[in-house]
Amino acid sequence: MPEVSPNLQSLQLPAPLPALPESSKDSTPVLLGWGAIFALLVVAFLMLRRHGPPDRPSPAPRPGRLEWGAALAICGVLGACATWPMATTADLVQHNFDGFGSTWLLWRLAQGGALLEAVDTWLYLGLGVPLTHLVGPVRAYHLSTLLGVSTAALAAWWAARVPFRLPPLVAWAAPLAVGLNPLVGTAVVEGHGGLLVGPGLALLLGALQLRPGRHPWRWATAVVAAGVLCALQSGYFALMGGIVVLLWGAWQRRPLWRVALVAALPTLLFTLALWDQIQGVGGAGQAATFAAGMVDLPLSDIATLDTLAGLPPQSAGVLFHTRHALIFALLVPGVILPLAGGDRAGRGLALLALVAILLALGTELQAVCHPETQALMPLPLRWLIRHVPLAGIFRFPVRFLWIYYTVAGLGTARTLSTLSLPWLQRGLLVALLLELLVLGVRPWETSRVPASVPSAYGALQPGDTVMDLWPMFGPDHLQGVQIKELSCYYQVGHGLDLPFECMSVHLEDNALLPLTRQVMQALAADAPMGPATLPADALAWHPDAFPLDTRWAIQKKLERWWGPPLATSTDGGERVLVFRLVPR
Amino acid sequence: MSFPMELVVIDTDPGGVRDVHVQLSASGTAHELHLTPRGEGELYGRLSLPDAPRYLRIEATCTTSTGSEPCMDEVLFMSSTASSRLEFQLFTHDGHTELLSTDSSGYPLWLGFSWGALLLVVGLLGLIRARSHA
Repeated sequence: MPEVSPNLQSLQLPAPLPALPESSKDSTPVLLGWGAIFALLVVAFLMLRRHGPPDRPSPAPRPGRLEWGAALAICGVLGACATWPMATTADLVQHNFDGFGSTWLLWRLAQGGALLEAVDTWLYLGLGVPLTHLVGPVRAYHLSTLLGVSTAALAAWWAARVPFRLPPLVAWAAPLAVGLNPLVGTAVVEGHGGLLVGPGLALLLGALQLRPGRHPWRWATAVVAAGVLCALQSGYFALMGGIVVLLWGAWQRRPLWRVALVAALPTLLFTLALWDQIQGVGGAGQAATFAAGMVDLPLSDIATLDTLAGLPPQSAGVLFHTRHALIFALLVPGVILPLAGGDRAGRGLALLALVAILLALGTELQAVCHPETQALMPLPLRWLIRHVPLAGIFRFPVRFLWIYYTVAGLGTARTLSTLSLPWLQRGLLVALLLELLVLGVRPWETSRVPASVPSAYGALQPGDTVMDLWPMFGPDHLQGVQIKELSCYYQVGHGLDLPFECMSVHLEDNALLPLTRQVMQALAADAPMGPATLPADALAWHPDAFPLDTRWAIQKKLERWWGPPLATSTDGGERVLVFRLVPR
Repeated sequence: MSFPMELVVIDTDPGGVRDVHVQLSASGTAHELHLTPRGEGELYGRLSLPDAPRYLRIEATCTTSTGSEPCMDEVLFMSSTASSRLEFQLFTHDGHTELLSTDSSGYPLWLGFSWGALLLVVGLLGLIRARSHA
C-alpha cells in the first residue's frame, strides 16, 4: 500500500453531531396528557378534602427477628434487581464513561495514595476499597453499588416499620420507592456508584420521626448520626439532609426542633470541609460529586418540566432514565392524598416531597424541549443558590428527587395503610413494583462494556510510563472525555504510569490534550519524536479509532521512528499496538 | 464468541436514499456492509463481529439519485456486550445527506403518563370503595 502522509485534519475525532431536528421532539401531546392528569389530581384533592381525613389505623407492632431476616433477604434481592447484572457479570456495567472513573478511583485508593481530600463519596470508598483488595476493582465496584442500594432500601423499610409504625405489608412501598426509583437506574447505568452507597436519607427521616420522649439527647444523637451518614455519602446528600432536618423540624413544631437545627451541624461541617473544591479550584474526584464548574448551574443539565413529563432530555444520557421518572405513580398516594386527608406527619411528608420536586426543576421553569430552552420564570433554587452558595454544588438539581422518592415512598405506605381492603393494598403494591421495575430502574436495559484490558500493555515493565494515542479532540468534546476515562480505566489493568492526570474532570486542564496534539503535529510533519520530547517510555496506539485511509501511513511512521511494535493485541474490545520509545 | 450487530437507517424521505455503504472498523479488522431497503423508509443490514467491540469507527457513503457522498464519519463508543442494534436517521442538511445516530432504546412516550393515570384511577376507585364500606 502506498504511504500517504496523513493531514492533521483527518487525525481529529469527527465533530460532535448536530442535534436532531425539532420536529422529532414535539412536546405538545405529552404535556397535554400530563395537564389532564394534573387536573384529575386537583379534583381528587378537592373531593377528598371535603370528605374529611381517612381513619388512621393504630400503630403496628415492631418487627420481630423473622421479619428482620425476611427484610434483609428481600432488600438484598431488590438491590440485585436494581443493579442487574452487577451481581453476576464479568463485564463492567456502565453506559458512557463514569463507571470507568468509579472503578479507577477504587483501584487508585487501594494502591495507597492521598486522594481522599479530593473526593466526597466516603461511604462508597470505605466499602469499595477493602472489597477491591478482596475481589478486584470491577467486582468491588459492582458489589459496593449493589450493597449500597440494598442498605438504602433496608433503611427505608426500617423507617416505615419502626419510627412510622406502619403495617408489615404496606411498609414495603418505602423500600420499593427508594431502591427501584429512576434515579437509581440512572446512577447504575451511568456508573455513579458513589451516589448509591448510603442509607442516610431514609435513616434521617426515620430518626426525625422517632419521638424524643424523655430522652431528647438520645433522639438528637440518632438524628446527628443519620446526618453524618448523609454527609459521608456525598455532598449532595449532605445538603439534602440539612434541608430535610430544617423543614421537618420546623414543620413538626416539636419542643426540641432547635435540637434538630443543631443536628444539621455535622452535615454543614462536612460540606464546609470541602469548600475549596466547591469553589472550583484544585483537583476533583471522578467519583466525587464536587468538581470545578459545578457551581455553574445554568449551563448544566436540569430537570425541566419536559424531562419530568417524559420527554427526551436536552442532553442524552444523564437523565435518560429520569425522563420516565413517573412522579405521578407516587405523587397520588404519597403526596396528594396525605395532603388532603392525612395527619400532620403525612402533610409534612407531602410538603417535603413538593419542595424536592420544586428544587429539582432547577433555577428556572422551562417547558420547551429544544437546545435554546425558554426560561419561563425563576424558581426557588435560584434564590437558594444566591443566599446559600453551598446549594451551588447541585450541578444536577434533578437529584433533589432523592428526597422526593424517600418521602413519597413513606407517604405511599402511610396512605396504603388507611385502605381497609387488603386486596387493594396488595394490588397497589404490585402495581407500584411493576411500574418502578418497568419504567424506573429498567434493569434489562443496563449496558455493559468489556472489563478486560488489552493484553499488549503487558509487554511493558512496571514503572514504565505509557501514553495512549487517540485521534485529536477538543476540550469540550464528549468523546474526548470518554477517551481519557478509558485510558485511565486501562491503568486499572496494566498498572503503568500515565503522563496525564486521571483525577482531573475537565479536559482543558489535562495534559492528555496537549500531548495528543503534540504527537499529531509530529505525525503530520513527519518529525520523529523521542523521549526528550514526549514524557513517556512507551506509546499505545489505538488504530481502530483513526480513519481507515490513515492507519497504514501512521503505522509506517511510528515504526520508522521507534521500530516495530513491542506488542500487538486485539483483545479487550479493540486493537492496540505498543511502541517503546526508550530502548531497555 | 460472536457479536451480532444490526444497523438500521430510518429514511425520513422514503426512496430518497437508495443505498448506504458502511465501512466499519472494530478490533483491528475492517468490515464493509451495504444497507438495503427493508420495508417503507428503512434500510437495514447486519453483520457478525468476532468479539464485542469497545468502539466503532463508522465511515458511510450514501447514494441518492444525484450521486454518492460521504454521509457519516463517527466514532461510536459501544456499551452493550451481548448484541447491538445501531439506529440512525437520514437527514438532508444544507443540500447534503447526513446520517445521525439515534437512541433506539426506551419506551413510547405515552407510557410515561399512562401508568400514572392507571394508578390514579385504581387508587381513587379503591379509596371510594373503602370509604363506602366504612
